Amino acid sequence: MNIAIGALILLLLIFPGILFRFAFLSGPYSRKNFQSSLTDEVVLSLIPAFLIQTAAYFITDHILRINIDVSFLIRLVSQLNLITPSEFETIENSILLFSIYSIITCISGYLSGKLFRYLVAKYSWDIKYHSLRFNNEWYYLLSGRILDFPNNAGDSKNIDMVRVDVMSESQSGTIIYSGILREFYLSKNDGLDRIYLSNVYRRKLNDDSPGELSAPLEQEFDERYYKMPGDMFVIPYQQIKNINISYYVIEEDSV
Amino acid sequence: MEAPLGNTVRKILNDKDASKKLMQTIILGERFGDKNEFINIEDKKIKIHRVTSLINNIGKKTER
Repeated sequence: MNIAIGALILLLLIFPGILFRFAFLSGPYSRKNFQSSLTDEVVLSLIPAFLIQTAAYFITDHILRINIDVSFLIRLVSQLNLITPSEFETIENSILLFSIYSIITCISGYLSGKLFRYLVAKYSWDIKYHSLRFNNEWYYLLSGRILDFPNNAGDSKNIDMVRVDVMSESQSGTIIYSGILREFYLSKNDGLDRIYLSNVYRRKLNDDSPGELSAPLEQEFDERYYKMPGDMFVIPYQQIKNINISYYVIEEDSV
Repeated sequence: MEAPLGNTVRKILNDKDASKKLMQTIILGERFGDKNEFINIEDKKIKIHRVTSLINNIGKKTER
């Protein structure tokens, strides 16, 4: 029972850090909402929790002039059996104040997580620092922002179009679809849901070997490629075996 | 979400002949090396490069 109360107080102290991480990671193109286990979350939330609690202690103790007995709090977490009956009375009297303190630090943790996410996005810190990448990895890849990563050649601002070659399996063998990437939809849990392509040409992988050309349907410029009819071609992620991505830039000259 | 697509490419993709030429350029470019051909669209002629090959041409990454 004593251990449970100590753990509960410890969790309440760490909880603002957990909310900070939740607010930082959650968003429209997020990498993930939460790690899989509570243990992982507690470990990764320790730093923001420490910073939030330090700031809260400073404000409460030095600005609001409400005395916090830190050594008593430590004994409360670690050695509850050593607490005297008079100190238990102090605990009872402090429950309301501690609850208000916990609620305020939790709200602060959530809001500061959102603020930090905004700052990271605004100043592209997620591009510079790997540990701050809150977006889904497919987002960086398909938007071309992967070019902005340190040590990668290129600049996403130069991209005029993204061409993809998608390898997919069919009953007649492996097919490669080549087209212009128009849209992509990310799924929850760090994944890709589907991609939309236009101007799609398909070819069989086997056609790369000489002497295995299939009967032509609409071969416009390369005997291996057949133009796919339709304006938009949708490929669900489950159908994608692998994907090759090329970023293109247009150079214009007036005639 | 929308993939990066420049205004000129949008115009090309809406033009049947130009879009065919565009795909021809990039697909044949992949097979036989950079064709480096011009595509005529309205009053402009354009060339397609891979972003990384443009970097190689310029010799450095564009400063932002």
